[in-house]
Amino acid sequence: MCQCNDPAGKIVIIGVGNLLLKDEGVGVHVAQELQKKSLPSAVKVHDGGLAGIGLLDFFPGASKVLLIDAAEMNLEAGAVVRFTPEEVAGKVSGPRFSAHDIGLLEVLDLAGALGQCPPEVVIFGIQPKEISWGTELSPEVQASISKVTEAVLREIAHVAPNASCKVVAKTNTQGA
Amino acid sequence: MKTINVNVDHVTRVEGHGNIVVNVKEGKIEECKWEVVEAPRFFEAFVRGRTYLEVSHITSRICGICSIGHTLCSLQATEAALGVKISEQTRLLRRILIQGENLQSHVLHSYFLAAPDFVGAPSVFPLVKTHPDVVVRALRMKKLANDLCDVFGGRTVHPITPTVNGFTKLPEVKEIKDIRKRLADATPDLEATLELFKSLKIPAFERETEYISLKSKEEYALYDGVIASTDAGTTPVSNYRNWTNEYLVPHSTAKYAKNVRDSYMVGALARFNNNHGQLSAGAKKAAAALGLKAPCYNPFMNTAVQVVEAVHAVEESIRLIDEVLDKGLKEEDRRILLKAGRGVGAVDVPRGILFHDYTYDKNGICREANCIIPTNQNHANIQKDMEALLPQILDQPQDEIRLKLEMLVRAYDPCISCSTHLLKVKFV
Repeated sequence: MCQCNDPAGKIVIIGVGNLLLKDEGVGVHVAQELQKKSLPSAVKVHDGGLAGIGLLDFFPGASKVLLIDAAEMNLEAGAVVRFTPEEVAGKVSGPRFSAHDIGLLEVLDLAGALGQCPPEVVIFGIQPKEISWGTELSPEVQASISKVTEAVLREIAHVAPNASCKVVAKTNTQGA
Repeated sequence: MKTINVNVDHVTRVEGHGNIVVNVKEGKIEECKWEVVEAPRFFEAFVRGRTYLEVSHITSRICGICSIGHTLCSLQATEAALGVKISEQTRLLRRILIQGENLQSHVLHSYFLAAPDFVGAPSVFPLVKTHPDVVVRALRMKKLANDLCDVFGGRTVHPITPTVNGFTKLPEVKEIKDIRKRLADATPDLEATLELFKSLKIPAFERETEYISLKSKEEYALYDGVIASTDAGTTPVSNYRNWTNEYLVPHSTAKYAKNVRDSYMVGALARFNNNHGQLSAGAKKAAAALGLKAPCYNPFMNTAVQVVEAVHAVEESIRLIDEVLDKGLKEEDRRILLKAGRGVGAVDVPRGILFHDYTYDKNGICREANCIIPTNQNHANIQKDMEALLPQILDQPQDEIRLKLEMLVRAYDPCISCSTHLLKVKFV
C-alpha cells in the first residue's frame, strides 16, 4: 500500500494528447505548465503524450489520478469540464478500441477490469476548437490552460507541501 | 449466384479511418477496395524553421507507438545532413532502444489487437474475464518493454535523452543491470506467448509480393543498414525515393508506394523474409514452432513474425546490454560543427521501414523535410491482397468474408492517422 504523510496519498496528474494536432495536445501543454510549478512531492506530473495503454504504468501507488485531455463536448471552445469516468459512462461515443493503441477511457476500463484502477479518477476535459495537423493551440484553448491549471491546483490544495509518498508495495491486486 | 455487400466503415482496432468496400453481384466481383481517408500530415510544416536540436522531439510526437523509431530516424537524417559520425556507444544504446520499441509494439498488437480475432472476441475486454492470466501476462511484458525504453530513452514513449550525436543523459549501471535481470526472467512469459500463438489458427492464404526492409551484414537490421528487396537486391538509404515511388489513387487520400511490382510489403514479415538467418537462436526456434519458413507469402503470418521478433528483442537486448556493461559508458563530447546539407535516415520500426529526409541551412535550421511511414508503403499491398483473397473466400458466409478481410487489414498493424484519441462526451 501507499504510505503517505498525507491521507490523500500519491496524486498522479497526467496530461495526454498529440502535440502535433493543435488543440488535441492541450493536455500535454497543461502538464508541461504544471511541471514548471513547485508542487508537493506526493504529487507527480506526467506528460502522457500518446502513451495509450502505457498510461497504466503511471497508476500503481496512486490514490488519485487526474487526467487532462481534449474532449469533444459540444461546448464553447476552451470550456473546461471536470468529470469522473462514472459520470460519463454511457455518454461517450466513437469507436471503442478503434486505435492500434487505445483511448483514455478504454485504458481506465481495462485497469478497472484488472482491478488496477486507482481509487479516485478525475478527468478535466477541454473543448477543442481545431483538431488538424499543427503545433499551435487556438486562442480559446490557449486561454483555457490557466483555467485548467488553477482547477488542478485547487484539486491538490489539501496536500501538504512537504507531503511525500513512499510506495512499499504495489497497491493493486492482479487479475480477477 | 451469390450477392455480397461488405461495407466496413472504419475497421475497428485499426488507427484512423480505413474502410473496406466489397460488392459482389451474382457471383461477380464488382468492387473490392481498401479506402484510406486521412488528412494530409504536412510533416514538412512541423519541422521547417526548427533547429536541428528540436526536430527529433517534434517528430517523436507523430505516433505514440513508433515515437522511438521516429526519434532515431530523425536523428539519423539530421546527423547525415550535418556530417556527424556518431560514436559506437551512441549506436549501441540506440540499437537497444529500437529493440525496446519493437517489443512494446509487438506485444500490444499481437495480444491486444490481433489475438481477439483468433478467439472470436470483439476486443480484449472479454478476454479479461475469460483469460485474465493472458491479459496480465501481456501487460507485464508491455511494462518490461516500457521500462527498457525508459532506462535507455529517459521515458517510456517520446524519448527525451537521445539527441544529435549522443545522449543528454546516460543510464545508470544499476538500472541497466536491473532491466537485464528482468529481461532474462521474461523467458517463461515468452514461452507462454509462443504456446498461445501456436494454438491460434492463422488463415491459409498466400500471395507473393516484393518485400522491402533494412538489411545489415552485422545483425537482424532494425537501426541501420541498406534498403533490401526480395526482387531488386539492395540500395543505399539515400536512394529511398527511387524505391518508394509514392503516388496517389482516386479512392484514398493517403499516398501509396510501389517499386518493382504493383505493390510491396514492409514490416515484420518483410524483415523475416529478408533477414531470417540473423534472428537470435530463441527467435529461430520460435519461428520454427510457429511454422514460419522463409520465404513466407502469407500476410496473416505477419502477426506470427511479430511474436518471433518479440523473442528476438528480448534476447538481442540482453546481448547488447552485456556489451554495454562490458565496455562501460562514458560521457562523450556531443559538440558538432554546423553546415548546410541534406541527409536521409532509415529505421525499421515495428510496422516497417521508415524514412526521414531533411535539408538544413548553414545555421542548423531545417528548410525542407520529407517522411515516408511504413503504413503508407503497405496500402497498395493490402489492396492487392484483398483482390487475391476475395475470390478464394466467396463461398463463405458474408460475415466470415467481412471478418477475414478485416483480419487481413489488422495483420498489417496499420497506423492510418497517427494518433488522435479524442474523447467524445455527450452531456445530457
